[in-house]
Amino acid sequence: MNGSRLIAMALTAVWLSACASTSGSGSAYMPPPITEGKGRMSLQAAGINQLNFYVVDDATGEEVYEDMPRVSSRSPSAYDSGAEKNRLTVDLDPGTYTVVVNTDIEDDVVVEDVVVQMGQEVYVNVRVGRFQVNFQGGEGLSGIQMPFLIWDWNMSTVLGRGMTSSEVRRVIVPEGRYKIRMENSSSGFDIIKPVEVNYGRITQVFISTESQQQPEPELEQQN
Amino acid sequence: MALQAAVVEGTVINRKGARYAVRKIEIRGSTNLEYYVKGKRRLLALTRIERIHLGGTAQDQEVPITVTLRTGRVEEGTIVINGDSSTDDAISGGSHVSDRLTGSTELGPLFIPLGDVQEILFVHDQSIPIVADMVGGSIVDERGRRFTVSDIRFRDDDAFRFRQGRKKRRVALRHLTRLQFEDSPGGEMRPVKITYRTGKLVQGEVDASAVRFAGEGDKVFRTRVDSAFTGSLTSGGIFGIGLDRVKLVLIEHEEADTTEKKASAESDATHTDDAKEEEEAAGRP
Repeated sequence: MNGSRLIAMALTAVWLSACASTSGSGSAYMPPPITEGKGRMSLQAAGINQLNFYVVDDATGEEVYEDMPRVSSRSPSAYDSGAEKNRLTVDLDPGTYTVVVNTDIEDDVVVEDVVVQMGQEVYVNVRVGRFQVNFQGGEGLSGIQMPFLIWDWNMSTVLGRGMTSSEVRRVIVPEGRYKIRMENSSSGFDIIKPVEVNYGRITQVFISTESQQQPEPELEQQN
Repeated sequence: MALQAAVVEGTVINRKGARYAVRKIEIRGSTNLEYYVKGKRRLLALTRIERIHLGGTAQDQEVPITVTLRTGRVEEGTIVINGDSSTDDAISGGSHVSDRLTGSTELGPLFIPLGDVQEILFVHDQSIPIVADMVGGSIVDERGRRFTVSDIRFRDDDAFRFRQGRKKRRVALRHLTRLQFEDSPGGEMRPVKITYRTGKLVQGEVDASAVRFAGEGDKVFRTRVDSAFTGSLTSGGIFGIGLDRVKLVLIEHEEADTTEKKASAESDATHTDDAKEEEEAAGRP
């Protein structure tokens, strides 16, 4: 008798724990509630999940939040993961804020006068785009990483630097027009490519040095 | 209630003389204007501009531009229009950035090619303060020489840019009183102490590299290395100094001057009183 009671209690405990785990997994798919007494600000960067940005309270001038997950675009070890968690949402006290987004060049994207209201969510458009430089080097240059400069369209100012990668590595810049210059004096190539970056688009830039290679010795002999 | 209050309004006049009252003015999808003055790039918020006049013709690629700031300063330069239409096969996935002015009118959305715009007269809310576009002060080099400089700019910008780890900071020079550069053993990144007008002191570092980047042109390299801070000498002539030679930048403000004068006057008065007390204590007349 006692044995059957124990079995019944054990089954009940298993059933309860199963219910608990089911409800727990369900809540993981819900957006977290806004913290009590605060409002929520979400940055919309058209598919970009992580940005280096900070938030300044207009009333005090103090920085109230920052998130800097991205490594510099000129770092040789940097790459973009396909499973990036979205980190562009932050709960703030009600007030007026300025959002400053650090891009991979000197120019920041500044969004002023963002009003956060208690219990409400506000979406802020951050007009940035991305481009990726795909480098295919010829003999002696295959598989190596190449630095490049990001210029303004008139090529009067160097706005930033970048590094190619065999991994996926996208450069985040404000929407606009730029030029990329990749020079390698030892190989003798100097390539300038125009890049136009739009909000939400990823511009692919292909740079190949194969056309600038010397003819192969065998071909020379045949000729 | 508007969630974002920064709306630029004004009157847009095209080359045929038609006028449009436009709200939410954006140029190339941005509320900043990029143009060139004597070959140097300027990036200016539309909220700081009173009036823009475009010369030339609608077909020009480099169009003369006259920008009148709210402070009254007038800058003449060029703006690159119709510079897109690159048909490079090596570029894919993106789309063209349209050279047009966009906004909203009472009749609906407005799209005008920038080449067809002749004039933009901005209307600003009086509550938005006029931002000073010029600061002056003194710059001291490593040897202790002091230069009095007006219209101080940092890398062609009216703001100082520095780093705090991964963070990039940009603060307008008009908010600062002092920049003190420390010694850097490597020379690549130079520590700097930044003092705000409010008295706040922050530390950061600035890229002071004198190494030439691959692909950097001669003029750009020399400008970056030798002319990080530029301005006009009050004695006449232009001024430029590199980050490897600058030690101290002292920015003067009119209010600060007044306060300093008051403080020095008070100090003199105190000093005189102290001297009198000392003299009385010593029994001298």
